[in-house]
Amino acid sequence: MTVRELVGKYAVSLYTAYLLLVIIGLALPLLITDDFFNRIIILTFFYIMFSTSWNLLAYSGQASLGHAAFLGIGGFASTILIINGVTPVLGVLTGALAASLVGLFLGIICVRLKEWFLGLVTFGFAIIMAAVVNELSVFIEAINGVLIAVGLSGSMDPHMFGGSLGIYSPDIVSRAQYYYLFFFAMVGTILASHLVIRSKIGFAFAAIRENQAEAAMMGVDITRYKLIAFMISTFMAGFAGALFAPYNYFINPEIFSIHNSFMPIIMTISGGIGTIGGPVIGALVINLLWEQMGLWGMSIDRLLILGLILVLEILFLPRGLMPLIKKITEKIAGTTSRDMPL
Amino acid sequence: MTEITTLLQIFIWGLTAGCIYVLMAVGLNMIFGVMKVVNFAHGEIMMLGAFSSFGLYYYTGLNPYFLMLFSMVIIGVFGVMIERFGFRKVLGTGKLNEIFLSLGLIYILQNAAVKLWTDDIRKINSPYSSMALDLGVLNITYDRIIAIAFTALILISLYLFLTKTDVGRALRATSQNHEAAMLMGVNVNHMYMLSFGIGAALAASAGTVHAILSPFNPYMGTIPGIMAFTVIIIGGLGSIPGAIIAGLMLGLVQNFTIFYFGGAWKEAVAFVLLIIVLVIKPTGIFGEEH
Repeated sequence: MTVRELVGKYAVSLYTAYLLLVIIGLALPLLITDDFFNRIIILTFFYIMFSTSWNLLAYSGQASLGHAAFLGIGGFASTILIINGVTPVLGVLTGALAASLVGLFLGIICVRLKEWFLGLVTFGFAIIMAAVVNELSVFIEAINGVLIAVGLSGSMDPHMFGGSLGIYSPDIVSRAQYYYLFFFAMVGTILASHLVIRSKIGFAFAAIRENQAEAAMMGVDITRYKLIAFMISTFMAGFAGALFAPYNYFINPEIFSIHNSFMPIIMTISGGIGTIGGPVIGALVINLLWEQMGLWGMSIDRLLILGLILVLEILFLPRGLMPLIKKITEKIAGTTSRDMPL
Repeated sequence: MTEITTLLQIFIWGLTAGCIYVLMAVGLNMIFGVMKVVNFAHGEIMMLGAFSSFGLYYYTGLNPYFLMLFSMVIIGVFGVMIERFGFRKVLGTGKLNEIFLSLGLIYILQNAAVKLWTDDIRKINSPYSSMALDLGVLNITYDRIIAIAFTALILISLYLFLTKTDVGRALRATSQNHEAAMLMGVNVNHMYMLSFGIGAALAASAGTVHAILSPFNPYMGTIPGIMAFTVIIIGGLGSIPGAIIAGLMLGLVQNFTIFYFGGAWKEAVAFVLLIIVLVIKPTGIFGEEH
């Protein structure tokens, strides 16, 4: 047995790669010395969670064009609860649950709908959520007032770990705490997505996506699994929003914007739709690119570039970066296409 | 008790708003009928139509209603290009790819427009803007009458085109059965381009009417675009009579909602209507199974 075979068989199995990434992730705060960079990493983790959530729904053949709705519901619900004195952990989970319940409601409406109809309804739903929340703007301003006050004084404490942790606080401990909070949330989300996709539920999702009639004939309960997909996915999206809004100290109806609905789509497609690693790679690449373009002073241009990236990908790279990465790992490992758990 | 004239006034406003939806939705339905593609960037094409009419008006100073015809041709050609170099490439590779392509187009068209023309608010001044038809109890501005008459004219000519000409018949044949149409010697690819061109031209006219009636900027297309989607779902995907009835209905319902409940609920009510229709009849009022 040559070294190459050995490496191929054991060392570079993807689980080892995952483990390696987790170790790098755990060690990263030691290297982060400035708040801006820390914030960008946290934002990337947030987008990985959000994209993973969108990807899971798409995995069942249902592409949401208004996923920002669930992000916003999670965010608003947790923010309102936390500033009213609910324990942060409970607030975040309730926020995610609220998003999931709304997701179930929307899922029930959408369950009989095919691609276009589903896309239209979800797209409209996010817009309508924004309009409704805008109507309650006085209320929202009050929330932001409290949030900002809290952020400045640090007297009332909407934090997960307790202590006085402003975002731009130079305190290295708070920086690491936020980092780990989002890091573990992200790992949990990816793990959950992995477990779902590899389980019986995941097979049902794939069957429905590939051919609904055949899936039904094989005894897959279409309605049930479509609703399960909606509930898990919107729970994840709500969770991401519920975690991010208190961290951000700011939330307004802009969270329901079309841009927020499209970001996970662009990210997932860039990485590779329908794979577990796709949304991770895509969110990483697109978010870093996005932030870098921001640093270069682009505002309208970067939106334009995002649109061009999406169109070019659909035309020339519809499966995203994932097949490329797969090829490279296979080359290193020296094995041919096994069913890698990507 | 609200005065009857106020209600009539709102009725007229609702009707003109409905006309814009009808023009958008009929175009979307033309494209859907022939290509089985829903163009999410239709609102952005409408916006380009408004800007093209504005540009022509700005440089020539002619009557905007006359210039609208040129604008329709320009945007129609643009629509053909989008079909040929965009949607054609992904047809048949899965519906999701078509959806994502049109999302990309929204980003590109909207932001390119902001880049080129900034997001300042503009308005096309119609020569009739200060004139109104005096009916004693209520005034109707000529611009609104023209908008309604123009929509009716477009719909009638579209109807005649689809039923009385060979090209129109070929279009309808393609929308009924691709393979059979192809076997009868219809060039299906040309029909795709034609339907997209007509859809884009109708959106351009909707954009111009919108720009004459109210101020606009590059973000103007998003909400009417979404409302046009809502209209085609309510009316039934692919059904032109459905789009007309649902479009007018939505315009009226929205304007009465604004009057009774306030402007913010204008979009929400469309969605409520959509949910009700989908729960009762998932294929829309005039829709068939696809």
